[in-house]
Amino acid sequence: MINISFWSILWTVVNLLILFVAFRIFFFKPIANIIAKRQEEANEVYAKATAKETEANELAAQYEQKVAEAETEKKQIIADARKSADGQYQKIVAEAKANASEIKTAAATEANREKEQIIASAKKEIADIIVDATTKVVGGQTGAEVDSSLFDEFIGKAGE
Amino acid sequence: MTLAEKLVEELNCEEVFRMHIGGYEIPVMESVVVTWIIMAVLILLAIFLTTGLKTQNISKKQAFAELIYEKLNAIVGATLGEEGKAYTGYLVTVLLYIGLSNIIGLFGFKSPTKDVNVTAALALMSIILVEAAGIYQLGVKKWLHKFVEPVAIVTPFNILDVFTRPLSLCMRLFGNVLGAFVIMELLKIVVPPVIPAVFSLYFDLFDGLLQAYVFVFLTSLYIKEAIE
Repeated sequence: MINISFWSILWTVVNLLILFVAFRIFFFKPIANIIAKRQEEANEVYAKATAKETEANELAAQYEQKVAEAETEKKQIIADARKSADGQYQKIVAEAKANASEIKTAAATEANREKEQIIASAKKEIADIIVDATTKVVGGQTGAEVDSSLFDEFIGKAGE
Repeated sequence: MTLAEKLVEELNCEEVFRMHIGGYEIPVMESVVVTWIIMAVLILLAIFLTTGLKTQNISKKQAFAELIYEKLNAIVGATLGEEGKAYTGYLVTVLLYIGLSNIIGLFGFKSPTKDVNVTAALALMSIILVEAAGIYQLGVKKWLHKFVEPVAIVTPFNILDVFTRPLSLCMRLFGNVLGAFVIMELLKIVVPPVIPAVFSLYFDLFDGLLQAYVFVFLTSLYIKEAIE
């Protein structure tokens, strides 16, 4: 029971060392390796995911920027269009106004000219009528000079 | 055969056979043979558990193997700390060996730990590991200086520690296993049918595993102390 035997102690020491080495080879090493490997894989996946996320964020930012750019562009185009439309409108209106006034002036000039023409022809007609009438009235008193002087006097008075 | 004779027979570690290597006659005791059986069981189990390891879609077997690995490392590593990580492998091996040795009595074998030579060898290796770890981690000078800490007057006790620690480790384990065995044998004789089974749970199973843990815990504590 309690008899120390050198050989038993030596055997046990040897056995323990063998068991330790065997466990290292068959248990600790493989499991530690597989855990480390899995960690590595997980790290890799994580790194990849992080890279993807960054990329996605970048893309999203780019997209947003593009959308914003498009928005400003749209606004710019609308503003431009509005501006040009306004200009066109103003131009058309101005043109129309100018046209209208031109027409008006032309019409007025024409009317004036016509009026003068009418007046001139009326004058001539009246003069003729007067000459006729005077000729008829004066009758015997021939002498064209007298007629003419009378007429002129009349006209002069009528014109005043 | 009287009870005493029976007990003594059970307690004695018989010589199984002799080896002739060179000029030496090497006796092989029962405890050594049972140790071989335990080693075979543990190694086969380890090989079985670690075949076909994968990193993904792991089998239940691998999950179990990893669980054991993690738990054992955690149990031993908790006292060892980060610096003593290198020594977990040996301590886990010792934990498994003593644990299985203590409960192998349930399967009809004589526990190797019932042989004082086995516990002496375990304790011897523990103290060699402790001192070696101290020298390796601190260097000879600091290691020697540890003997005069905290004050010079305790030096004799510190030196004594080198011998009492393994002795206490050895005797604690041996005494517990022996005591549990004697009590169980007595119980089997005194109250035969059911009661011994209940006590067996404590003395054979719980105490056996507890003593394995205590042994490893103390060794790791000594290592931690030595490398600080």
